[in-house]
Parts: sequence; C-alpha cells; structure tokens
Amino acid sequence: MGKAFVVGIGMTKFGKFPETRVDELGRNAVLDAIKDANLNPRSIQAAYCGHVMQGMQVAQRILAPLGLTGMAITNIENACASGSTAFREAYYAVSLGRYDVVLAIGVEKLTGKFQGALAPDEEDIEGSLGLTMPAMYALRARKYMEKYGLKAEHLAKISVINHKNAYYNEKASFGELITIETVLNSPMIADPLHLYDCNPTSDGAAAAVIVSENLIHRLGSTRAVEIASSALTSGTFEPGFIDMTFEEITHRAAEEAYDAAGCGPEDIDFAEVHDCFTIAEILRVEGLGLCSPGGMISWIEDGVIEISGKKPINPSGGLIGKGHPLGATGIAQIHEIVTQIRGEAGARQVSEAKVGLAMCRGGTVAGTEGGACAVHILRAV
Amino acid sequence: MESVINGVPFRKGLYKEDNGRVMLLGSRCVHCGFTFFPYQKLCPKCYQSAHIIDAIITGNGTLHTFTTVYRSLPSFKTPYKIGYVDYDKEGVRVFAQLEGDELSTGMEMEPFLDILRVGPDGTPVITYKFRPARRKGGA
Repeated sequence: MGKAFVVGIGMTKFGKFPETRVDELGRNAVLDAIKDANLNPRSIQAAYCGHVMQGMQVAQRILAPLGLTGMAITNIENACASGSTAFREAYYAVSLGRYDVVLAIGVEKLTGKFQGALAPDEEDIEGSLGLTMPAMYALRARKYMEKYGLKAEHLAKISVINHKNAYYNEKASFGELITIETVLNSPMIADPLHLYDCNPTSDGAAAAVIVSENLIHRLGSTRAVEIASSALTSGTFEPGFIDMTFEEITHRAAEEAYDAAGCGPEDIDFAEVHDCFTIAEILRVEGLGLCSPGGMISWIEDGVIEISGKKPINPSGGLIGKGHPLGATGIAQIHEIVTQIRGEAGARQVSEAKVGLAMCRGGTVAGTEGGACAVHILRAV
Repeated sequence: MESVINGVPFRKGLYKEDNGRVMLLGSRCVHCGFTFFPYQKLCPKCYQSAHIIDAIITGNGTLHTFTTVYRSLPSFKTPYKIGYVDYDKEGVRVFAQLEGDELSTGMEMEPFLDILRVGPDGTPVITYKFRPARRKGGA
C-alpha cells in the first residue's frame, strides 16, 4: 500500500446559516481546499462526500457548477461519522493506487431539518421509545459518575475549555469565555447534562484534497501532511451487559489505527475527538487509550487537555465550541489536525504538533455500543 | 387473556400481558446460552438459527442507569424518564420509559403497560414501562 497526503484543506465557518443553501456551503469549502492545494481543479479524479440529511446526490449538486463532473462521485452516509468515512474512502482510493488526486467533502445544513434533540432513527426500538442522543450520553454519564466519582463540575470544565479554544478559532461560531457556573446554570437537557454540555446544531462544510506519493514529488508541496493510518469500526452486537463507561468500539478503532501507523497513544501529540457531549470527550480520550479508564478526572483537574497542557484535546473547540454539522465534522477535524501540524493555528497553536489523531463516532443502534467509529492518524512529513 | 389497557402496541411481537402481568417476548440460543430481547432469529455468537427457542422475560429487574429527558423530539411530551433495566439471570438489558419520583440505580423495578403516545387517529399506542417494584421478587 502506498502513502497518501493531505495537500489542501478548506472549510466554511460552522454556525447557523439559514440563507445559504447546502450546495453553496459545500462549494465554498471545496474552492478553499483546491486553492490551498494549489493545483488545477481538472486534476481531481474522484470525490467522496459525507452527509446525513442532505437528500440525493448532494456532492453532484456541489460540484457540477464547478465543472467537477464526469468523474466518480460517491455520497456516503454513516451518521456523525459520515465525513470521516468519506475521508477514509478517499484515503484508500489514493493509497491503494486507484487515483492520484481525490477530494473528500463533508457537508450538512441542519437549520430547519429537525427540532428538539437529535435522536436515533425513529424506527430504532430505543429511538421509538424516546431515546435521544443527549439522553444516551446522560445515561452513560450517570454510570461514569457512580464508578469514578466524576462531578458535574468536571463535565462543565470540558465545556469551558472547548468554548475557550473555539474563541480563538475564526471558523467557530460558539467561541465564548465562560465559567463552570455558566454551564451549571444553563437549562437541563437530560440529567446530568445541561445545555452547555451539548454541542450546538450547526450548518457547515469542510473539504480536503488527498494526493499520492507519486504526485507529491511533482507538486513539491511543502505544506503536505501524511495520513499515517485510517481505521473504521462498527459496534458489535453483544448479548448480555456492556460496560457503559468504556468505549469498546473506540478502543478497537484506535488499536487498529496505532498498529497501522506504527505508533502508540504515547506518540500522539494532540487529538480532535468527537465531543458531542462533555461526557463523550471523557469516554473518547479513555477509549483511545490516551489515558487510563477514570484517568480523565485528574487530566481535567490538572489542565492536561488544555492547549497549554501535555495532551491538548480539541484545540479547534471541538463539536461543543465549533458546532456539529453532522457530515462535515469528520473533515473539519482533519482540517484542524492539518492546520496544527502545519503550525498555522495562530493563537490556539499546540506546541510540538507533529502527530495528531482525529476520532469521530456516528450513531447509536440498539444492541450495540455505537454505530461507527473512525480514527485517523496524521503526521508531519 | 385479559388486558388492563387498550390500544395498539408501539411495535408488534415484543410483549404479552395477562391481567397486568407483563411478559417480554425474547429468544434464547440453547447452544450458546444467551438470551435476547427483542426476539432474535439468529444467534450473533454462533450464527445459527437451529438452536433458538422462545424465552419469556418476566418479573422484576434491576435499574442499571436512568435519566430525565427535558428536550426531545416534538412527538414526545417532556419531561419523561428513561433508563435500562437489567434481568441478571437472563443477562438481558431492557430499554424503557420509567415512572417514579425517587429512582436510584440498583433499585428493583417492575414492568407495567402504559400509553406511550396517542396516535393520529386517537388510538393509544401502548408500551411496557418500568416503575419501582411494589411486589418484591416479581410476578
């Protein structure tokens, strides 16, 4: 298998854009990525686009007015991991030698798409009985609190950090300098999760241009970042009782990604993880093996996960600080990893950002611990 | 068989009820020993259907975790409680809406039938729910 590199990234600001059509959002991100890659759009040979609720063939709607037509275009749905899954397909299309230049897109316009809380498919047995995504994580938070002595203040601190990181990210709409009290005084969504423990509904798009090793020599790109590995897992259907405080699906994806990249969790300088809720950030970091189960409590207290800490988590602001346009999120994570490794993150720059990990989870399906988990490891060339 | 509540089940084939006693309709792989709810035609461990038999889950379970939902889809009236109830002997974890003001994990819970919502034509849609056990040890 050959190597593959990200040479161009682009994204729209994430936020609420009721006046902008989804194809316009997508196009803006694609144009930014192509410009950043500094290559002729005609050289793009295939496109993979992740989205959840944008209807038929949103990628073709995005790309047709740009003249990016005629090539293989694939639209991918994998819940909140749709963008990551599209990125993975693009990565394999290049690393397995099928193409030299491909485009990965993630896009979502949620404004006007649903009300209340995001929930599993209504035909899912748990979804039909009133399970929502915040409620699912509230159920897990209660178990974690019981097992390890986590307090609501610890959860709130994660929200404080991610809102602060987003404050220094011009692509984020929800950056804010808040306190633990702001979080604890915000309305309860599903006990013990408050409004500020949850990611805000958003619109947005992100894109990445991926090229082969062969091409990178010709391009002479000095800002390329290598994709060291890609892993994608789904939840296993397990009879009996699963541990709700540890993410087996995440652990499996991480092990596979470390193995393929030839590194371990200790080699990861920083990570973008799927913090759809504050408790989720804890479960992700521990599932990835970055710290031991229950270890996040002291990491939160000691500032380890802050940008100035030893293992910065979600320097972009994460889903909580940026917003979470479902299909766009996975590629926005790649956008942040590449920006950091290039040393172009400005006020939120992580020092010594050489190896970054992006972790995205999607969906919940009754009987399993989750629908999908994608882990990508990227490193400086 | 007499029912204490009238309406249509939220999904067919999940439960039966006899005079207030709720029975969840599961299945069991006699080869692997696992019990499933809802009913599984194929065992996800041995991938066989030949060893599957009916299994009825009834009586009280134990509350594993719970939450009160304050924001939900427009079709659900908030607030309401949900959680997982474990049947330790069978190794089955059941998701359901819950009733009861002072819930705590580890509590003994009993199943009962209740209205989940009222359908567009006015017909009540029925589900099993759990509440703190009035009769210890179950049915």
